[in-house]
Amino acid sequence: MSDVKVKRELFNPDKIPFVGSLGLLALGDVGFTAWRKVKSDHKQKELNEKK
Amino acid sequence: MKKNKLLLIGWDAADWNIIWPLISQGKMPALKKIIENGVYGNMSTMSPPYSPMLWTSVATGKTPDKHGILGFIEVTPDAKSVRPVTTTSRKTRALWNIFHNKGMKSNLVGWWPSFPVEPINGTIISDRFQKTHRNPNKQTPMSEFAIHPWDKKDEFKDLRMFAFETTEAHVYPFAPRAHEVDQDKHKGLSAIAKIISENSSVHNAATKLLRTSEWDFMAVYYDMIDHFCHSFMKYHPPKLPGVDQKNYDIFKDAVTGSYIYQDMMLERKMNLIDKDTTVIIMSDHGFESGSKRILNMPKVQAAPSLEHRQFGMFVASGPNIKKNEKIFGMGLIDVAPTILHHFGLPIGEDMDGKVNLNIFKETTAPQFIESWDKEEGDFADLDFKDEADALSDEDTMQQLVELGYVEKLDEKFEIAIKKTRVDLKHNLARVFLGKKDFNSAKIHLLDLLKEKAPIDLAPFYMDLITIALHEKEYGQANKYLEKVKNSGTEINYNLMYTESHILTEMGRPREALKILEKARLTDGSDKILYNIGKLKYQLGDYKESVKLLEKAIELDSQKAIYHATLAEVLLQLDEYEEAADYAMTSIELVKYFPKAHFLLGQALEKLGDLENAKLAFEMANKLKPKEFHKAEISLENVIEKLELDLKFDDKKSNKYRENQITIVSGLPRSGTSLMMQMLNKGGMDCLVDGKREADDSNPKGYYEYEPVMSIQKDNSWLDKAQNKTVKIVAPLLNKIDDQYRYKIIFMMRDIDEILKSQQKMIGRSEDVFPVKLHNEFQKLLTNIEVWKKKEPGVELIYVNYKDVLNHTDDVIDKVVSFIGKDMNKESMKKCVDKSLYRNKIKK
Repeated sequence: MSDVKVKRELFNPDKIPFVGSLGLLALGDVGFTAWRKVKSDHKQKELNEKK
Repeated sequence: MKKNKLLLIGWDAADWNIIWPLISQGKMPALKKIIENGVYGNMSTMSPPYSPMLWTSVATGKTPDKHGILGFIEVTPDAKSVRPVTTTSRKTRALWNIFHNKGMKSNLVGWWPSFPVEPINGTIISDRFQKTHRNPNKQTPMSEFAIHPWDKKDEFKDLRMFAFETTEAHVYPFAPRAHEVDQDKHKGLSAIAKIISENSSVHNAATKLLRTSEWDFMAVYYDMIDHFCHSFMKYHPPKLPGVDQKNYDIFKDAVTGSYIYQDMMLERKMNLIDKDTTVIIMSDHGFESGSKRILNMPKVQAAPSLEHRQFGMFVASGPNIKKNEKIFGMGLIDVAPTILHHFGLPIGEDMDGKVNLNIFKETTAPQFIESWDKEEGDFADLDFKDEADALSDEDTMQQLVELGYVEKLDEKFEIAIKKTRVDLKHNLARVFLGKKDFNSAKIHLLDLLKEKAPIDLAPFYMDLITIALHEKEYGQANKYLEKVKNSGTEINYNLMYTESHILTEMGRPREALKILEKARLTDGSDKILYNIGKLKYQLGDYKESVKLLEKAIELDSQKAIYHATLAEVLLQLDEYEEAADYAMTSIELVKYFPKAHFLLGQALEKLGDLENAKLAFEMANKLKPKEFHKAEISLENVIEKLELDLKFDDKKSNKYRENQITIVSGLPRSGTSLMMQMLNKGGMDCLVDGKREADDSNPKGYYEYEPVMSIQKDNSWLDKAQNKTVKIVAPLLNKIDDQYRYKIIFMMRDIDEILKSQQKMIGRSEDVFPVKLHNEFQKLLTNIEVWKKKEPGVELIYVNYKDVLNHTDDVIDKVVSFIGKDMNKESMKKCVDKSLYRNKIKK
């Protein structure tokens, strides 16, 4: 934990990395749901690109 | 919005030894803020320290023998299998049942155990909600018993995080060199993924409820710190010899990472509650993080619990909670009573815990009822038609096995069931041992000795040795020791301690010392230093004892018994201040430690602080009333000393009150009959029946009224005493009816004189001094003084019998003005006959 900084920044739905973060998980249902959505969109985008 | 809400957050295994350094490094800002605005202190755990038992004690205020949760697993009702422990094993009501009955709303998330759910007013997301398959190809359907109300399932089902969803962004903060792990050889990363996902699921449900529901009480339980500690504490700095360097480098931040993540989740929860909400954060036990960490777990039941430390943490803040103050003596069983008190609800007298009033800014006296279990009404009690399959959970069982809490189940289920039954029974015996209920423990242990292979009997014999020593059955203790030696047990007991303990108890401390001195050559632990220090004390080598005990405390400052023993030795060396300090530290660590309170009382008495010595002895006596005769006697001594200074003050108005009842009282043989006679001759009407005739002891008559003797049963005759005088002896005074006004003339006489007079009157030798009666009389006088002050209808003056004889005029003036009526003082004076003063003590 000492080598990696964990962000405690405010929740910004426009800046959610598709790999998520502990900071997002710590936000609970709101962060988790938003991340899942980004992840799902990202996956869909990848699938579409493959097609 | 609801007021007076309380949020209880459980952090399994959280320990101050890890928290304080992180707070000072600024890595746990949310907890720091709460501490600064509230109280903090140690949380004392119980034996055996198994989490489902402990968290149920938190929720019920009762010890496991009463609440019924005795381990990690239970046998299914059809007796065909075993499964992770469920709510069905709990046999008493928890906080949320009580709140339900009172129309309050509770939310419960992840509590261990809370599956199957109870139909309470509020929401329960049970401890099975977050348990999911690791395999992404396997579905984990949600059990209908995992959520209450079930129609809320759609709101929560998508809030479960699966272990396979965990990414490197989640794992790296705990293991920055995670990519170096050979996952075929080390399961660390998969453990991290599972712990993060499960705890995030719990947190998701909790934040959802915090955001969207109304509640009065909410409890959330996280096992993250405990699970991280069990998996990675061996890699926590400083590196222990024998730990693989590469794994150490990879996982050394894992434990602290779990605390930091827990703090981040705490920060979120704090942002979702209002400032009027009271918050409690607590753990059920601590976790060894220093030199006592165990690298090779011994083969004993629930072995990982050996790494649990006696003290967990407790923090609380809220509108009525003190600010930035350390509190002492919090125990797991105190949490439920303290929470009930917060809500203004009574505490069950059958609860083992007490309200910790020290945490509150403003306190009121706790209220009690016999038992919440005996209350009628709707408590949302579990009415579960048990179907073994519905509650079984292979994945959770597997996790318990992986954590080492549960042995890998035997392929033969009958053996697994048998072992489970035996373990639960042994746990119950250990609970009784922890409560010092040796008889109950013994019954279960002796029963367990009937078990046959593959059950290992050695642990039962070890516990029986403890009991035999307590019962001073030394021969039996030695027999049990031999049984352990010959049992072929796989458990590596350190029998040297047991042997030396038996010898010590047998009064052979030199032989015991020899054994330990030999062992010390290879073992420099605090335990051995303490035991040798204790033996040196027994042998009268106080100075050497102090040195050894101080060294033991240097190595482990958290052992209450070390501090108490050092206090005991220092008392022998007349070092009273230091002794008081060590006794205090011992009490700070463990509140329910009668001996430490007793030692503190002794030190304070020597220092002349009698008031506080009295409190300490009272506490010692209260905690161990049946056995602690020393504390009882010390308390009596201190009370006697205090009573020497007791002032008997008059409480009087000197105003005549209409229909007042004049009472002459005092201890028997203190001059009450003489005063009655004086009042009678002075013109007062006396309520007497003349049934007791004059005799040698009272030649001028007793002036008594027979119904007084049964005043405790019937005091209705008091209306006849209005505007009259009646004699009521001191022990019966507090039975008078508070609807009348009383003027009490209380006769005082030297207690020793009274006793001599009484001995003579009943034909006993005056040379035999009745010590017990003397103490009783002292207590009675103290009680009268207290009673007088709190009774608004009572006025009372003290009249010394000797003054009646020697300063008769002054006494008559005092009595007449007290009664508030004109009286014939001359006639009163004529009653005094000094020749009747026959039992003056020769000083």
